[in-house]
Amino acid sequence: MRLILLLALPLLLGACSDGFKAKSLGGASSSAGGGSYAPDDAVALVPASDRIDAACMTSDQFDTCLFRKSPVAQQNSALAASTRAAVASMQTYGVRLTGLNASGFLENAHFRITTSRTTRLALSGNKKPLATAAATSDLEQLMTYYYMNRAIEYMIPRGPLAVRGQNINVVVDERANGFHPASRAIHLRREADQLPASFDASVPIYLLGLANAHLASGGALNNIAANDTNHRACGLDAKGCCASSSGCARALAAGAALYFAAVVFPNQPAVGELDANRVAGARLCAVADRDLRNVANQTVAAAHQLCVTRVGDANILGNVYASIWWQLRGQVEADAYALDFLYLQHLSRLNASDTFSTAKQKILDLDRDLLEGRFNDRINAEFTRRGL
Amino acid sequence: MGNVFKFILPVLAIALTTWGHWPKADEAILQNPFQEQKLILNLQSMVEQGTLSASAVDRSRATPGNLMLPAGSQLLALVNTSCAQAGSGRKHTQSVGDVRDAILPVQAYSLELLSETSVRQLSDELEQDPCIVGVTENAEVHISGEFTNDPGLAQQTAMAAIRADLGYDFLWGSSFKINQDVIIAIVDTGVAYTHPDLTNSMWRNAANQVGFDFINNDTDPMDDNDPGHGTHVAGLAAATGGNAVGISGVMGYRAKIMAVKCMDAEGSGTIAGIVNGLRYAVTNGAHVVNFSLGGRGLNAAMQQALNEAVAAGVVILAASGNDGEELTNVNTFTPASYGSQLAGVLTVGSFDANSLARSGFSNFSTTYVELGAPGSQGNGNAGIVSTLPNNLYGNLRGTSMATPVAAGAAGLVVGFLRTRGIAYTPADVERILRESAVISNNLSGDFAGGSRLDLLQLSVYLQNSYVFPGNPGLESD
Repeated sequence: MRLILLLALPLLLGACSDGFKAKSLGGASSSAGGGSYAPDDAVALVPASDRIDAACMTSDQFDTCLFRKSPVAQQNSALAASTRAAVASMQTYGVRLTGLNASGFLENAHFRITTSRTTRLALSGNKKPLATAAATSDLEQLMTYYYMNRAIEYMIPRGPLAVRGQNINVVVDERANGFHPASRAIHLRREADQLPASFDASVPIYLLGLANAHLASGGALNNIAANDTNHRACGLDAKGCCASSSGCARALAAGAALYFAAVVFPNQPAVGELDANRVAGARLCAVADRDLRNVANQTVAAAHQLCVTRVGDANILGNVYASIWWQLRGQVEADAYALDFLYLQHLSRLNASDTFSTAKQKILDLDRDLLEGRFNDRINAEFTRRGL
Repeated sequence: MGNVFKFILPVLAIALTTWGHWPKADEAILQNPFQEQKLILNLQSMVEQGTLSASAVDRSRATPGNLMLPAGSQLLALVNTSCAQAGSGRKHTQSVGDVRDAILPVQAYSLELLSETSVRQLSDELEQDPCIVGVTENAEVHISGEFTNDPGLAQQTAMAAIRADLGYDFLWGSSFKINQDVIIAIVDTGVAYTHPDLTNSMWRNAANQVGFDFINNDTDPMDDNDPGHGTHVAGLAAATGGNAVGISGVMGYRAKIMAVKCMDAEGSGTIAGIVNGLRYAVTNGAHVVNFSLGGRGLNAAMQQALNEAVAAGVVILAASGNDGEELTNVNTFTPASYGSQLAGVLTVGSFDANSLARSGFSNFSTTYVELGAPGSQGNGNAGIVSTLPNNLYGNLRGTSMATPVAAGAAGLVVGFLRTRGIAYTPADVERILRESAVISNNLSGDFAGGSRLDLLQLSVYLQNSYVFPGNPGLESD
């Protein structure tokens, strides 16, 4: 049964100029837990057409054969060998490619897959490349397109997605992973001596989350003032650590991205599994997993002190911010759509001087404005539980 | 006489080229000797502590704590060149050089000891001279390259070995480009600054001088060494790139070569000259200083100069030496042995550009040699190509060659940070170079961490650290 939301959202939605339409929310006018809603045009996270099939390579039911999230996530254990040959046999996740424009390449209105050192994949060619084809980045391009498109198709109905229609440039064969705000480009690492970052879909999706947070805030989240005191130098990064356990803009961005990735991969809410070759994902400072299953009860004070060589590391503190959202999502399971809506909305309110504490207040205010405070008690409780 | 300063004094000789052992960090030699007292007192202290070799010291005629020093060796004096009373009242010392020619506020001079005396006598006498900032031994220093006449080896294998082209994709790429000049001082035998692959990359001061010649005490630091050690070193670091001429240095763009000639045509020099050269480089704004030279033992004046240079923000690269020996706390080499003690001074060993294994001649140590760079090819038997005087190119091998390769990389880091407007210290630059190095199993027993310079990893490191706001945290560390 599809419920209809009755709450209109004219003012905030007006900021989204690319056609986002107010949803009709049903049963959502009372207090928290009083009802749930789903969008009119809800999209399945995993379409029925996409599934593990050992015969993928020879089956015409699939456009291409990928890894399900990543080889490590797919087998839910570390790889015995992190080589192209070792993972090629795991390309059994058959999928259909959707959302393509007519260019003949992997692109649509939201993003375009490009290359810097290899050749762009033409859709007229072979779309079932093996991971062993190291001379091309075809599989890297397909992996990236499929998962980014899935994420965007899934997220668009859930709220104002800032990357929507932004034609983000996604380069799959760069030297390092990252979102570059100035060029609004996502870079994915691809080197001869490592498995490509794009073989782990959590990486591009996390970076898409970073891009979304940046664009949602109009760039304000990254516009850190020269006299900013919320950040401090962290190793070589002049703003890589938060000055206090209350958090900072960098941690908000990191947390927002991690939550975004968790929404897209809810059964495995971790990032960086392939690079780390561990199910719990990347491990920062040898102490902090980027896995929301492992930080469910972590306080900001504990996270702030977790890495003795990088006290206040923004990514480690970001884990807590993502975990707050993730725990809330778990608590309101049937109402996850509304929470995701709140999450997407709050990004537009963040700026570079925000902390977790100021973000909390903005979320509470938004919840009251948009959702009649349905999550206020839960939000208060969860932030308080983490020491905020 | 005005400011004329002459050491026309009989001197007690010190032959201190070999030291007993590497003192602990809290011992006198690793402290700043000029901050609290004159270095001569530290010499006395070191003798008393037994940290000074007694091999050249006559202990038989010494009283406890007051060893006799033989004649014939040299001292190094750091002199306040504006001091009007210089040289007055001296009995035992004679200087090499005239303070009238000084170009630095505090300049080093060689002193020859003419007769035997005791450390205490020497200390007492020189301490009373208000113009002397400090005195220490003046060890002989040699350049660290070996000429290998391999005219057919005209390709830059060193650049391939450090994956320079891949690193340049970013450092000189379309989305980012270093746009700030970096001055790299080559303290060496001079530079053939008219070489077509160097002339457009030379630093020039307001008087259009490209550096200074401390051997001939003039402003023409032309390289007169055969085969042209300093010219070769300069080319490896910063020969002009993209000019359709010859080769490219590791920092082929935006580098400015400051020629500081402190080694003579035979490839020899003194600590005094090197200290002066370093001070000149610092005073004139060098960002990076390359020392493809060294001498056995330690030298507190050199240490002091290194300390000052680093404090002034200058990154220093020092060759580990070509004896094929392990550097230890007793087998020391100046300035290389100071690298592990001073963040911002990076000691460089040589690996082979083909095999990527340590060059057989390279000194090694997992403590004192901090980074490997290519300084040979052909399994260590052949040199790597660079510029030579008379508009030529040729191959030399040695840690002398490895060091400017690393110096060019240091220049790239400095250029990157300056372009991004990021404040840095020499320690930051050293850390970036070391943390971005390839960890090589082949070199694990040779250099600290098995570290091998790699520009691709360097560029990725810089991107991860500085280009993307906050490291995304997608990779374990």
